[in-house]
Amino acid sequence: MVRLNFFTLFRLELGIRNIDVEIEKEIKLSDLLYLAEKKANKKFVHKLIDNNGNLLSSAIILVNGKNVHHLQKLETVIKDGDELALFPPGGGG
Amino acid sequence: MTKPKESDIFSRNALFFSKKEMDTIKKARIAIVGVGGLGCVVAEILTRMGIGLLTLIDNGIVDMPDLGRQSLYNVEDIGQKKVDAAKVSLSKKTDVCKIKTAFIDIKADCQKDMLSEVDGVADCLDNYESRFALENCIGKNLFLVHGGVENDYGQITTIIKGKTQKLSDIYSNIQGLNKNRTIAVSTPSVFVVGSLMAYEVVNNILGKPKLINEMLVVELADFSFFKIKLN
Repeated sequence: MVRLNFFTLFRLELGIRNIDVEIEKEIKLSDLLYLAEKKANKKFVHKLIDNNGNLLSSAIILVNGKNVHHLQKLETVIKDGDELALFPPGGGG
Repeated sequence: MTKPKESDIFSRNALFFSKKEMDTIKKARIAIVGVGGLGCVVAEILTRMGIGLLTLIDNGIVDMPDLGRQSLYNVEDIGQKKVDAAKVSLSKKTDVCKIKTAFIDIKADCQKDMLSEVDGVADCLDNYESRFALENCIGKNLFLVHGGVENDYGQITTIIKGKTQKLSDIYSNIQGLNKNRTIAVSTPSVFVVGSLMAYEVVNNILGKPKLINEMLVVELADFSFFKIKLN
């Protein structure tokens, strides 16, 4: 099982704190996001990935506390037991 | 009016903190970079706790929308440099804390000299480009308490080079996000996140930071506090 935790605006807009997704052994991050979206029955992937399939700069995705930009971005392999945090951080000061 | 005694001003905190801790706070030197919503709150709390030296860094001028959430400014400060107005305001709180100011843009001039004479830095900036520039110009042994706020949520973490991830790693795809964007923000969230930042600054001063490799996310919408582990 992989847990996706939503924070800040994502959590407020989706109205859910997290989604648990059962996976076989491992899955590509982009595939996991679409799977989670289907399970949640609420659209959120468009807030993370643009029309060209690139990660947007308005939110961060952490896999076990590490930004996926330092992993393999959307190709990052997610394994059973991994935990994700997805959110647009507060930008103001 | 007689000048108030330091022991009287800080007496309630002295009932909570030990004498040694109060002395450590009194000797501490902190830079506050960005004296907007968060910076005003952090500066006021540290001043009222008896901090030794505050260095205020900002290149902003007090403007009308600032009055809605930036606690150190008043109507008569409009048009003044924020660092000057903040210094005057803070000096009236206790008259104990020493305050230095720098009217500069941290992106253009990183003030290595000023930042080399402090023990830690509060990142109260309002855009990620400036935050990364600040992170790049501070020394190895300094702690950096980062805070960000938007709508009615915010996040806080402590960054220490060599001990934690860099801010620019955590937010690596966020560069340029706030460019030319007016950020929606609620006043209570600014005060809450600013207060929590001040608390973590004090934790760092006392050598016991609580947000090392953890990010506290605060969501006022349902009064939620969550800690995300950072690897």
